[in-house]
Amino acid sequence: MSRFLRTTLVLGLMALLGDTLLAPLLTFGHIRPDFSLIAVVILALAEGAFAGTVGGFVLGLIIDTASPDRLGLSSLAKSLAGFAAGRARARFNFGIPAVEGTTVAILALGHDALHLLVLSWTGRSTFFEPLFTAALPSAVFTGLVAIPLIRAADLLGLLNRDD
Amino acid sequence: MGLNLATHTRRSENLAAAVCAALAIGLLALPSADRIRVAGVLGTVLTGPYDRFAAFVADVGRVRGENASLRAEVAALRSERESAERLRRERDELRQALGLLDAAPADLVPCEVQRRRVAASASLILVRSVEAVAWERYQPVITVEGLVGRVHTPAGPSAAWVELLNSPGVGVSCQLVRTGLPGILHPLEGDEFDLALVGRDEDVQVGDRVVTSDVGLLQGEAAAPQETLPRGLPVGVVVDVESPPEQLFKRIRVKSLASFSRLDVVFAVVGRGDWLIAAGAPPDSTHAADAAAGETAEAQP
Repeated sequence: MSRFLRTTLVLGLMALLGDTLLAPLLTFGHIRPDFSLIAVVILALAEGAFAGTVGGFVLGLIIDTASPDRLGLSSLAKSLAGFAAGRARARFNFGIPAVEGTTVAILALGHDALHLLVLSWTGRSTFFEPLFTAALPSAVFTGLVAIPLIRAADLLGLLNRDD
Repeated sequence: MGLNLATHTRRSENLAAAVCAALAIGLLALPSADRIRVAGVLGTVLTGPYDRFAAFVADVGRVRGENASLRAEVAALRSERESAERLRRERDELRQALGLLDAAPADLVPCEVQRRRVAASASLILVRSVEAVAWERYQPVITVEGLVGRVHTPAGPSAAWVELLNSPGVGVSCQLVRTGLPGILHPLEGDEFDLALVGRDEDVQVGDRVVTSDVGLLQGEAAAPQETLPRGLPVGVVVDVESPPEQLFKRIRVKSLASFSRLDVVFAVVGRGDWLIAAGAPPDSTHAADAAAGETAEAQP
């Protein structure tokens, strides 16, 4: 099995299991880690912007099927997050947990901000209040949760440092 | 595998981002009904297998939990049953000590059914035994399955007319094994009976076994009590229970264990015995059946 397929399968499984089994256990009010976003970021760091974009789109589409009224929103946010993470990987300093966590947190905040922007534009939510009460703490939490997962991915040899 | 998405130019990466973003925005721009339909199709394709697998895993977990609680319940019920058996034995020993229990075992005399007489007033069979029998009126007659009737008129030392349980007007004092509730069994049609005079709030369930009771039955205000049958002869099983709101009593339908249409060899019960208990054995219809089966084996050449 090629490294790409192995990486994609492992990260897809991580996203599904993380979001369905682990995330409910780690939820505090509106604050919860986004395992699928972490998976997209790791995929982008491992395989580049193309894989991150497509992987983010597919994972987002899977998430969107659970809320048909927002179909396309997660696909858009996650594909852009995957693209951004892939582009950032050239400047990414592997092995420094603070950098890894902060990068994921920034991407998560951008991802959630885009969500809120679209929702507020369509009149289904306000923007600033959930941005500071839910999106920001969730982004920080996602960044913290991402650190051990990125370290584990690196130890498993999923991250491609040579690219 | 030739698939490798890792080596792409910036142009192809930009193109992928543009295509994905355009597709996502296109989906977002769909009318609500179309969006829901597309999401349904995508859900079936993308998440259906995972959802089914997750549901299966959840079911397995639930079943394991249920099994654990059922095991505990079974253990508790077994313990309760054992103590109930102990109490039953103590009760029977006390009844025996007080002279309330006829513990002398009954004998079963095999008889061949020779004739059947069906009339509007009664359904009778003529039975003939190999040996002479001290016939008595209302002496019970059973098959290996259960009670079929009672002696109506002796017709000689080794023959007697037996009134079948499904004969019109027959009433037999019975009780439910599980709860001990008494009732009067009346024939309905075929092998089905009505267990009357059981209060509408009493605990009766489909599947409850019905046996004879040794409580005397008075039919009519000035009537003399009938000779009772021994306690515990298997009669039937409850097949339907209703509690009509306008009535004081339940409507209980009982299916007899014995078939009245295929009577070939029956057994006259000589002596009374107590069929509900047998020296510590749990009350069971197999008690009579085993005894009768033993007699059958002995009677055969």
